[in-house]
Amino acid sequence: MHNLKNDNSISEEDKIRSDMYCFLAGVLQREPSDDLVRGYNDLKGDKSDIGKAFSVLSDLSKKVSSNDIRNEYQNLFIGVGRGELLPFGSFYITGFLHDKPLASIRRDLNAMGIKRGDDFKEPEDHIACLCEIMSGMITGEYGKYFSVPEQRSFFKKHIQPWAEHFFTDLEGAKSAIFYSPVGTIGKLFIKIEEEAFSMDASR
Amino acid sequence: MSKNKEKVDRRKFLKMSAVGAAGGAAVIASKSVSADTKSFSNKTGYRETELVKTYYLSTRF
Repeated sequence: MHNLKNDNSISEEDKIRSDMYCFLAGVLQREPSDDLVRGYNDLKGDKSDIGKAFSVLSDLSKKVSSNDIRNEYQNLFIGVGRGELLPFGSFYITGFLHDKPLASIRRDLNAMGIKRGDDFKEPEDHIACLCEIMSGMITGEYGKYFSVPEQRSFFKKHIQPWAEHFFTDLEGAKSAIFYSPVGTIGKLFIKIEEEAFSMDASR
Repeated sequence: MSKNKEKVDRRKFLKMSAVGAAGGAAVIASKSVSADTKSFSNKTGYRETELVKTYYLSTRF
């Protein structure tokens, strides 16, 4: 997700932030491949709450079969008719899919010079899309580095209004075993981001 | 509070709260999230796929 040049020129904490967003995007984007699940085996966390949730996720990735994890993903996000959760900003903010919040994201992406590829069909207000965009804004993926105020503006408009609520739902979802610690990690990370953005008053 | 002071506080806060807790973990995780999961690009569609691969190979994880 990162390119060499960019990784040398962003600070340590920005690297971690982009990795966190990248992790969340990867885990929520689609049913995980066997390789992706294996990739979680080596996760290690410290004694902080996020660290503990990473350790739980790592344990689960070894104990739960990839097929069961894929089934869980189906039940949570796809389902028959619909999954247990709808991971879309528009739904969380207005109660409707494809509503104004999605139009607003599309407008902003266009203004930011970001376009989507053809291989991911979900609308841009999908939580995985928003996390991927935050990660790319930090690493310079889209042809420029977005400043902290620019990142904050995108975050406040499109993520902050609903993401913590979504991750809390994910953490406690009936079908969630493997994805429950993902919810915990997302919830805690969004809180950290929210607080960090509130500290930086420079425009 | 000056601009710089606020910036330092933000960095300090992020280091304290995210870097220690999740640093290694998230780096490893995102490494396994391969480039084919990428759904957005800048409008020219420029991607440094080979460099990304090189970066992953060179990383100490």
